[in-house]
Amino acid sequence: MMEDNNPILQELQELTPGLTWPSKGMPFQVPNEYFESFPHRLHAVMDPVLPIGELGSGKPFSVPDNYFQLLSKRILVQTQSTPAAGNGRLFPLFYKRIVSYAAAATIGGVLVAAAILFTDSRPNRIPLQPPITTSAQESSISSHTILAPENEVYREITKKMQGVSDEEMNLYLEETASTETIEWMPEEMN
Amino acid sequence: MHPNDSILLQWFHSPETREKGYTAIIAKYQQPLYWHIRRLVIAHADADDVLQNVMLKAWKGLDNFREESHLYTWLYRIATNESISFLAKEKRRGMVNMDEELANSSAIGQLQAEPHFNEAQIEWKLQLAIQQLPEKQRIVFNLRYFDEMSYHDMSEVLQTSEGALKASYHHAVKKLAEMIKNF
Repeated sequence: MMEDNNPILQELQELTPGLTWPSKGMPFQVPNEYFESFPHRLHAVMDPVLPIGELGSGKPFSVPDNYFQLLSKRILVQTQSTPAAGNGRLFPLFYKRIVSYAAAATIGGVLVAAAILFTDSRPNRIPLQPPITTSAQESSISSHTILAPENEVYREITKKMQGVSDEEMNLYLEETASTETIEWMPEEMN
Repeated sequence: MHPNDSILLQWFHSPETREKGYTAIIAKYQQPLYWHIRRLVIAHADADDVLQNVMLKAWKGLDNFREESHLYTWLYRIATNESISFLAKEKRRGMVNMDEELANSSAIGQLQAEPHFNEAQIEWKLQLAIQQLPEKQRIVFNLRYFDEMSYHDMSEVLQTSEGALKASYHHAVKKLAEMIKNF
């Protein structure tokens, strides 16, 4: 029972004079060592949400198992399943001669670029990036597509170039060369 | 002996002693909060769930705790609200249109299902009587009678005026007194 000078008891006696109130003991049972183990169980629940020992670096978001390990594979599958632009054709076939000249110009440009990239003898050369192409071109063109001799497109282009003389090729290059200077952007130093 | 609340809050708000502060808060308040919750939800497993939710909310909310109220009443307020939410959820799960009387009889059934329930024991009789009170009166009575909370602190917990709380407690006491006379 509460002590006689307890204000709660005094209030009860005023409200219910003469009535003896039961003790405040709780009849409910509690499992053994419940309160001793509660903090540990609470921390175990909290860890995935907000690690107590890692305040400020907690990762409240969860990621499926092996997500990052499988991510690159999933992206690769998606890119391989995306058809190349123009079903393997690099250039539209409007006129045979324009296609021939364009093919020649492309091959020539790639060869020149390769020569520049791989014969530069500067020490500690900063690697250069090729001019920016559109994402559609990038997705359909890879270095293997252009340079591999066994590639079907390469064989097609080579076949068309057989009838093109050097004079015709130079004339085409003069007529179609851009007057803008292509700036080769050096890769930024971190 | 537990440190006073201002020291616990100081520990918590300092990065070096944050975990120590939180652990000390759990140590100081887990038992009173547990019993407050248990008296409302009855079953131990439910009280354990609610208590964990309360402590998780305390962890998340302590950074923004402005100390406009006391830590003690703030924690009791979370515990009371979580218990009420739990009971409301149970009511919805049991029966869509369960009225208070039906909900109370469900709580009485739960009490009777408790291990070591002994209807002859006066403490069990008091718990059965308390479960027959309306929810608000039950909470007020528990806080005043078992937790010996002042009306001022109770008004912080329940966001109700002291006058209304006194009236609610007096009604609860009168009803229980009639039942106790018949024990």
